[in-house]
Amino acid sequence: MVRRATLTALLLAFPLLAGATRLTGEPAAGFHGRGPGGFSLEGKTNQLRLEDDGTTLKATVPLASLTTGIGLRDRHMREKYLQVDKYPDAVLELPWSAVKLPGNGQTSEGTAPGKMSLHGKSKDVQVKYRIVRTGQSYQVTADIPLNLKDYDIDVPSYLGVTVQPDIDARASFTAEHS
Amino acid sequence: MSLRARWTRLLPPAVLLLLLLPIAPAHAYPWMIRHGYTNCSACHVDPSGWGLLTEYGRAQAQIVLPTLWGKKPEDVDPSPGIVYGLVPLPSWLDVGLSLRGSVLSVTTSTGTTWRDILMIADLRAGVTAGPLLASVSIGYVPTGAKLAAITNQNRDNIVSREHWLGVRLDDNKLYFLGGRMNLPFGLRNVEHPFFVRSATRTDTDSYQQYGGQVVWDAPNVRVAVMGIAGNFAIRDPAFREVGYSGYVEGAFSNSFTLGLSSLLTHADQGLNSISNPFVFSDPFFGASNDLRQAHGLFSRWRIDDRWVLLSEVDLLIESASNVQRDWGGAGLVQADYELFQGLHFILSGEALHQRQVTSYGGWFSISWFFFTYAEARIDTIFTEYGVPGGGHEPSFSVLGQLHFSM
Repeated sequence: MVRRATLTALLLAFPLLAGATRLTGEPAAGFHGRGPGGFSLEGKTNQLRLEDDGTTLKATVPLASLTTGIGLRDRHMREKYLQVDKYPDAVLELPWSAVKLPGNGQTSEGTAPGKMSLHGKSKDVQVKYRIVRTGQSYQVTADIPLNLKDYDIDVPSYLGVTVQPDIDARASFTAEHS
Repeated sequence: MSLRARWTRLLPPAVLLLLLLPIAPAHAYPWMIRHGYTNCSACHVDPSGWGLLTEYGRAQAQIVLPTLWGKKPEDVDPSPGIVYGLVPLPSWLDVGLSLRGSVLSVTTSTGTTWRDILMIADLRAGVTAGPLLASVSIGYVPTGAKLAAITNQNRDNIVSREHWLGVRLDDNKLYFLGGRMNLPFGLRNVEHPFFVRSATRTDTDSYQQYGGQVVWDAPNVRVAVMGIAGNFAIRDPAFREVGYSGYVEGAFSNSFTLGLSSLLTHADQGLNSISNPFVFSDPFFGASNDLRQAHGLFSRWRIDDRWVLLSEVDLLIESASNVQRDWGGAGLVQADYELFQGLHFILSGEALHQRQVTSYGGWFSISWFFFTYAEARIDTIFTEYGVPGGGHEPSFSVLGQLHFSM
């Protein structure tokens, strides 16, 4: 019974998002990294683009816009590690079929397989998502654990502080479907 | 003359001197949370912050602290060594020098006095080699800092504020330290005359103690607990305190932390803990079985790129044989506004209730890191000290400082 209801909800919801999906409000994307001891760093940007071909949602983050709060660290991140002149974007592709969409006024959470492209490499990833729906507005938060080595990114190390290769990438945005 | 009588006679001027002694024997800037640093161990050899900088910390001191005079922070190429890169250092060795001089004017109802003070002239060295770490400082002070003195003169003493050895394990999260160290308690701020530092006896000027410390330093939580064996710079063992001091601080984001501190010490005979120079007689001084407690909360909050708010509130309890238990408290709120990189406008408000009298004060300070490793600072301090029996005594101080630390 529950499965049938979920399937019905999915079938009803899917067409709503299968067309154009457009951002409303300011999106946020970034990462959280850890170093030795209590060292941690946050990278943030408000730039994120969405593309929707009806079967796959593609979220693109221009990496040159990422900032960590310290200018020199940003420069090292962009030039030495991410090499944004050669690899300007991080792209997450998520098939709609893997996402459980909530009904109006409801929230859905889950983990969906997606594909992350970064630094010239593409890898399958598990995307932990949370979607809150209000009418046609979908508030989405996605967390993606990444390992820098999977993308041939050198592990950042600076004057004795080495960042762990496992980082947590995150994106959050509100989108409307018409 | 008995020891107690001698101490009692020296007490009022000593306390006044202690309070009027300069800000900051070294650098410890809790407002570095502005740059997302909720922990201290990446930049300081001491995992709880203060003093000797690591190689990474020296780089941050060149990138994010000073005014860059038209240069962009991303264009700074920090020198890994010391003395502006003239002296290279291996990555396992840290060396630092701190020189701070000041001119102090104090105006009370009896008049105005002027003093020039060499507040600190400390050389520091430390080792961070794999799991091993160590830190030692040696310096000279013409006056004050007696509790850190390794010589025993009335003035012109050699001081060693800290000297300790340790190991760090589990990717530098777990530390075991032993020796003379700063007490882990509350905000580790530079302004040592603040009531929250002086009344709890936890400043970084001279209130270090000997003992062993365990530190857990993880991205979202910092914990430090120190077993206090006493301050062996105090010659008479009866006045040495034993007990514990510690904190636990959670980082709820890279912009906000909230911590809990606790301290309990016992001494066979009590030392003075009064932070009010107008309370001339401390019933706990020399009293037997002195038990001193401080418990409190502290917080660091990066409001935005320019504003940081720091706060601390502590409950103070002291008891001793044949002395009525004293309940008090100390509080501090400090707002730091960085107009442009290196230039800080700092507003501080503080209050103290101790020995049944209440004092309060306000500071307005301008601190300018006008060049790499160089800071000019001026503090204007207005304090209304409570007077036993009622009323207040106002005090207005102006302190100008020049500080070189590298």
